[in-house]
Order: sequence, then C-alpha cells, then structure tokens
Amino acid sequence: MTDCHKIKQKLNAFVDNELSAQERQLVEAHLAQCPLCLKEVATITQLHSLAKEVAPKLSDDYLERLIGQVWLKIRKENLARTQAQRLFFPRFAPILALALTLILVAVIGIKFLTTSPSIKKSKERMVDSTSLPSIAQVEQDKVPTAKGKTEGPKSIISEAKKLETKEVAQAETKSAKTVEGVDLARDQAEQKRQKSIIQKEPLTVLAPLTQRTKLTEEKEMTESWANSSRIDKPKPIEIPKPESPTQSILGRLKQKISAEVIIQALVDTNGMVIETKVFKTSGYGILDTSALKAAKKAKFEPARVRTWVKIPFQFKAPGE
Amino acid sequence: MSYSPKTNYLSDLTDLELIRKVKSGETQAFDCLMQRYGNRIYRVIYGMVHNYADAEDLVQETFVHAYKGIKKFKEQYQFYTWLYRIAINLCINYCKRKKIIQFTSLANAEFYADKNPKASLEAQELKRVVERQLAQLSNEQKMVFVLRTFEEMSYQEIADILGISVGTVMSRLARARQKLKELLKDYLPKSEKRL
Repeated sequence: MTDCHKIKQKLNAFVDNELSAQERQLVEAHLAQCPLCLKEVATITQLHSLAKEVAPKLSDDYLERLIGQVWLKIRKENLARTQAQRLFFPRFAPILALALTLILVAVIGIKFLTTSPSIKKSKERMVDSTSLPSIAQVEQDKVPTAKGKTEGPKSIISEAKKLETKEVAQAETKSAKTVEGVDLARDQAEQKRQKSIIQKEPLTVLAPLTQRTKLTEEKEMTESWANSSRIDKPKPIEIPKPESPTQSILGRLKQKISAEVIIQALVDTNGMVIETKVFKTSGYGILDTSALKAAKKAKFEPARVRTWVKIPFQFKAPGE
Repeated sequence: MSYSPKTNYLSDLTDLELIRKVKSGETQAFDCLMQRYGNRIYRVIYGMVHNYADAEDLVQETFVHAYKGIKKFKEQYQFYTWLYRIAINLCINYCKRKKIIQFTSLANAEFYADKNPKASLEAQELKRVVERQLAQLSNEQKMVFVLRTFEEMSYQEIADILGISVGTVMSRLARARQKLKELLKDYLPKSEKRL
C-alpha cells in the first residue's frame, strides 16, 4: 500500500507526461497491478478533457478586432499622455524656468551686495573673555591689601581704556587743528563715515539713527572719531566688587579654598550691561547672586554690536 | 487567420526578431505578435475571469501593456512567458477588483448537482457547470490549472510564467484537480471507465 501511496502522488505528472522514462516505467508497472490507481488515472484524464471543453472557441474576426482595439487604446493613451505633458510642461516651460532662475539669482545677488557683513553677523556675539586676564586676579595683583577679607574684583581701568582715550584725544587734537567749528567737524565726521561705508569696513558702521539723534553734537562728533577705533569686543572699565558673603559661607569655603563664578553679561553699544546670567556656578547660590549683582553694575568699553562677555569672579576664604 | 501582404513576410520571423522590429519602430511587427498570441492569451484570461466581455478587455489591456513596456523587455527571456505574466497579473488585479472568487455560489453548484447530468444536461450545460466549478478554485490553483489544461503547457513553462518552482506547480495542480474531482464527481466516469 505504501507503494500505491507513492505512485498516487505521481499520477498527475504521469497523465501530464512530466515523468522521466524510469519513473514512467515504474508507474506503468504499478498500474498493471493496481486497479485503484488505474481508476485515478482515468479520472484525471477525464477531468482534463472535460475542463478543456470550457476553453472558449473564438470567432474568425476576433484577432482583427483585437488588433484594431489595441491600436485604438494605444493611440488614446498616447494622446492622453501628450495632453498631460502639455498641461504640466507647456512649450514655454524652459523659458519660464530660465526667467525664474534669473530673477532668483538677481534677487540673491542684490541682497548679498546690499547687506553689510556686519549686519550679516548676528547682533549678539559671544565673546569669550576668559582669554582676557581675570579681572579679580588683576585686582588682586594690584591691590594686595584686599586679601584680608574677601578677594573680589574691584573697579579698574584697563590698559585698553587708556589706549582708547589716548586715541580719542589725538583725534580731537587733529580736528581742532583743522576746523574749530562744530559744523565743519560734523562735515568731516560725515565724510569719514561716507568713506568708511564705501570701503565697507565693518568697524565704521554707525550706531542706529535713533540712537544718534539722542546724542549731543559733541558726543556725536567724539563718537564719529571713536568709531574708527571701535573694538570688536567690549573691554572692562569698571567691575564692582561683589558684596561680601556671610561668614558661614566663607567658613564653608575654607574646605574648598576658593570658588569661582563665571557670569555671562550682555554689553550694549553704550558699554552698559543689560543682561546677566550665570555661566559657571560656584555651587553656592549666594556667591552667584553676589557676582550677578556686581556684574550688572559693571561698565565696559563698548564694542560695535551688543556682545556677550564672560566675567570671572573669584571668592577666596579668609586667611588664604 | 489570413495575413495581409504587408505583414505576411513578418509571420516567418521569430518572436525575438519581431520584438526587435517593434523596438526599431516597425509597429506592424506587433500586429504579427498579436496574431500569434491573441487566441492563447484570450483562452487563459477567459479561464480566469469566466466572462467574455471582460476577457476581451483584459486581452487588449495585456497587449497595450506589452507594447508600452516592450522597450524594457529583456531578450534573454521568452516573449510568451513575459506576455502571459502580464495577462496573469491583470487577471489577479481584475479578480481582486471584482471579487470573482465569489462568482459562483454553492447554491448554484448544488442546483446543477441535483439534476441528473447524464440524462438532462447537454454539452453546453455541462460546460457551464465545469466553468462554475472552476471558478471555485483559488486564484493560484486556477492559474496553474488553466495554463496546464487550456494551453497544455509543461510544468516548467508554468513555473517560469508564475515565478514559482516546478514542485509548487505540481502540488497546486494536484490540489486543483482533487477539488474539481470532488465538485464534478457526478460528471466524471465511474470505476468501469478505463484509460
């Protein structure tokens, strides 16, 4: 029976003539002995011929009709595709694309040429003043007597400030030499400003008009001269000493020896601090607050634009 | 089918030669291909959809698709295999759309089965019964059965067209025949019938 089961699996292939010669001989030998399998072969054959009858008989003109219909459909599809292409890609599309590209290039070019590099830059720049000497440390060097209680920053005048004032004085002398009248000085200032604009030097960009109108004529003149030597980042003029923390905090500091707070301050074009935030905390809220308060009162030599600067404050425990 | 003098010389060319001519812009060569395969494609599609009008539409669609994609046809394959595959895919989509699988209800099958087939049914009616039972097969089984029965294709050819193995063709065909045998048991020969 096992043999019969195996043969049954091959009967379909036998009827369809898909067996190899060896397998065919094997099946034929079995069929000669097994009437059940023979019946199965007969059924498959009968089913095959019965199902074949279902295959449709086609009319003589069918192929001609088919060819005609196929070409009609192909032509219709081609027409529809052409129409769609015309709709989405009209004949003047390349010209339109070229014109749009030219306009785009022109707009970008004009914008690029008219925009000053100083305006392109963000108004608020981050300047890492840690490269500058620590104000508190400078103060310590200059005032060794302050070590007694709390080592904190005192108001100092930087060397940069001194240099700056020298330059301004020279400029003033120069202007006094040429013309004494305010009007002439203003003309000169204006000329210089115009020249600087032509040269597109970012250093000579003036303050906004609204701000300038507020200034007195004298100030404006001075500023115009000072503009030529304006600095890239604010320089500290005066940084007040932070308030002395309580003894308890200072006592705790003994363990740590010293603590440093770095305050980030936004210096406006007048050299005033308009915003402060803690950049690096000391770990003591009271020291941070004290440093923040001191930083708010600090004064700077203004830079060309509003600039963020970092002001380090060092607190040292008494006796250190 | 009589060929026009214009296309007569094309009838002697092989499929590949005709395809090359179509690719080079000689559209009459495609007419020759349609004449060669129109009937065969129609038989297969009809076996799948069991509707004359829809079958005719699908045959036309098959040739339209073939014409549009003939430039992509790779010459290492057989053209008829590629053509049948297009037809089969269109049939599958059609069946999905129309849910042709449920075309014949069991009630109908029983209605025909109740009658005494030998006495009352004529050949045309028998054909209709077989057609209805054929529609009950799954698409996969039906495809294999139709290609084997209507087109007398070898297992290998069927496997190539459907992209399956010969073993799968054999098993699908065996299952399709088994199912039809049960559905058409009243119309099949009794034990005394011999091969």
